[in-house]
Amino acid sequence: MPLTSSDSTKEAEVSKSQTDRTMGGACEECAAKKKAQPLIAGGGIANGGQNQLAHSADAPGEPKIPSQQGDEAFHYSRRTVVSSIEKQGLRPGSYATPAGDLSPLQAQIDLALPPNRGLPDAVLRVDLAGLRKAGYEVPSVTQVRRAFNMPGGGYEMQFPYPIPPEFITVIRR
Amino acid sequence: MLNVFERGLRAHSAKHFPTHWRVIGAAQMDQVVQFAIRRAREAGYRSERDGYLFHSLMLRFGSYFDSDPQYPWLGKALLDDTIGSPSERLGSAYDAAIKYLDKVAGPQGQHIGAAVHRLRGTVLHELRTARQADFQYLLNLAHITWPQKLALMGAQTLRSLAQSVIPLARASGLTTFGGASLYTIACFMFGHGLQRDPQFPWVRQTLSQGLCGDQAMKAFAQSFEAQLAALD
Repeated sequence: MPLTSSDSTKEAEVSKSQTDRTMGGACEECAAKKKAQPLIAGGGIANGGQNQLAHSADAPGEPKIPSQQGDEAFHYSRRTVVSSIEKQGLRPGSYATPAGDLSPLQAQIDLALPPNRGLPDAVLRVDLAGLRKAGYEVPSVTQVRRAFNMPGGGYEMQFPYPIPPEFITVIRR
Repeated sequence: MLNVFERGLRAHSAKHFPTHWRVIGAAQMDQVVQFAIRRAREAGYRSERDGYLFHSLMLRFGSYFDSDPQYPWLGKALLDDTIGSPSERLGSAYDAAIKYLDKVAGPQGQHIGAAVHRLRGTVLHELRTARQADFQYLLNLAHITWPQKLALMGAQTLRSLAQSVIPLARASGLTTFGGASLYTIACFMFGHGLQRDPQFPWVRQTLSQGLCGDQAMKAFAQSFEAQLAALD
């Protein structure tokens, strides 16, 4: 996408001020491995960059398959309803997803949310471990199917019972 | 997991590209950063400075800016091996790109902001209901959407863009006039490699559902609208 609100002149200065060091450096895991292989220098692209390639995404944009029923799930909603959820919890039939790192746009697309309500700019964490401890059965995770002309493809769980506010934390509002 | 350089580039994106950061999201930006470095490496760039410049150009012009028919001057500047080293050419191309952006997007990004508004308010609705379309129709829509950009790129360049992306749109199910025009306008906004661009994963998701005709167009329009809403 084009620049939008970025301060292009300032950013340009910063980008151009970068050094002539080769791109790369190693991730911590690779760095640890390299200690045992001192002859393999660098790891930057000038040296082949095999280590970096090993960490690159196979297909950028491919939805990640989350682990089933972890200790937390995330409910994406609009900030206008956050205070109500904080007070009253989530209603029966509410959804949550194991993916807590979706942007509002990607949540809308991956979770096939109704587009006429606006982008889900708020994220709330649902404490699945706490629910289990309290005797609730945590629903299984299923893949989101296409709805409202949104492609879906993410993962979700639907709670048949109301989720009390003590199991909910606001992550982003 | 990101390496040291990738983490630096990621932090740079968060600081200097706040809109991209907000719209793309942190997790997806990791993929964009890794993709940028991979593409820069494949294009023969070596230094960290090259990586920063390449990544910045990707964010501003789309991930396939170097082959985008909308910016023939960029590709030409990068490939002209009679002038300087690849790094020097990238630096010069970057300077030219910043000047270009100041003209088409406005010093404060006001032109692109207005383009997003017009797309959401008028053009998207027009395209959803379009039954007949020819190049003149597309030209008018591009002019309504983002006149500053169209004035600089010219009608012939828009035609080149349409010719390069419409076959792909049709093959992906956007077989109606409105659908093909919609896809072209989306590429006009975000770059010609839209379907493969990790900055816009929704495009591939939307077009890989096996839909066709009006259904495909509606689905694409809905996701496109969500992208614009996120930018607005």
